[in-house]
Amino acid sequence: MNNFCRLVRCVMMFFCFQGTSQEILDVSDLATYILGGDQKSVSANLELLPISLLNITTDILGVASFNKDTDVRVAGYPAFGTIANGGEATLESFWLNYTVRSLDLLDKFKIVVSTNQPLPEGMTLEAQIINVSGLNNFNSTPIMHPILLSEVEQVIVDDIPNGNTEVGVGKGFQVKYTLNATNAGELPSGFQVIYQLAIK
Amino acid sequence: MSFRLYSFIFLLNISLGFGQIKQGTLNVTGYPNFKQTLNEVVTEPGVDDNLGVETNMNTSMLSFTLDESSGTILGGGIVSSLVNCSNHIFRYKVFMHRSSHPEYDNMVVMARVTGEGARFPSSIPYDNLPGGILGPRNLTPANNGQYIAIPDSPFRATKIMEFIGCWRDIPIQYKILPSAKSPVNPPDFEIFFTVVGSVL
Repeated sequence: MNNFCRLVRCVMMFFCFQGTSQEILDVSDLATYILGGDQKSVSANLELLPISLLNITTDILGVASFNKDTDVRVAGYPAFGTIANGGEATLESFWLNYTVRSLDLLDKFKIVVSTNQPLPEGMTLEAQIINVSGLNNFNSTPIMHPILLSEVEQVIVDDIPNGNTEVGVGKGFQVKYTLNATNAGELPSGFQVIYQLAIK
Repeated sequence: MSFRLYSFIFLLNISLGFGQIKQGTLNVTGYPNFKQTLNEVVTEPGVDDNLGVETNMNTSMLSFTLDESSGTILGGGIVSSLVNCSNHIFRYKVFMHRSSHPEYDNMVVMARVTGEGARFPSSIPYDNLPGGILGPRNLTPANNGQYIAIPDSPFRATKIMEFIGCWRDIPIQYKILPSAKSPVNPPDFEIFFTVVGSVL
């Protein structure tokens, strides 16, 4: 009886495999279809649209993220807030995520960073790429040294080929901000750090 | 015992080899022109661009009919394709593959048949025979009519459908899952259809 059950189970498994397997055939040999069959082909054409999407994402609650392409939103930095006694404050839970496809295959992209207004006297803000996810399998060149932010656009990630970083914290390029203030002070109201994707 | 088995295989080979399969012709009209539209492009930064670019339901139309043939010794003249399709019923499997290009390495090209199409001729005496040797002249899409990935090698063409008797105007729909890595204008590629006929 046990054997019978086993046999039934085997047969059922066999039919399951039959049902799900996709039939494959080597059609490289004319002999496969020369008798009673035939082979024809059609030509297919593909046109894709160029893409440039950029986001800076964080898991810090209350901090807005930028989205370069749809609307450039203000990044309030509540965590920076008031700097007591001219200390140094760092924040490093920011990740640049992008998806790009260039119009011309030879073109590469870059990400530039700038501020929308000057920093107050005695205060500096630096941005630095400190981490790249997935061993940089997107083959871009991140600028790993601190960049002193100003209204002038500076490259923070270079040589970006077609591709995408995946989404969220832990994906793409991790940005660390360092705020240095010689005196107590605040970032001006409406202060923004702006990231833009541009063709190299 | 083994002698009997060999004899059986030998006889089976003879019967297959001399099976009266008739020559047929596959016709394919309409080629896919994939053109990505705005609502088929990724919108979230970091996400890969693989929403998919889909063609119309009936982008390509397939027909497979038996060729006209010259008459027998007893009756001269030409036997039309229609008469041959009425009198000779075979089983056909249709396999698909595509040409290979590095630009398509990150993409998936897919096709499906819905089960539509027309028997040719639409009604023949065979249809009224109880238990026709190959069963009713039906068309069976592989994967229940859902999309199937088309391999980029003739060595492993994949079955897209199976049908009994001659069939015309079988619609094929295509879909490509691109990637952000894919270039905007990759080269054209070829899609192959191989029909394999059998008497069983």
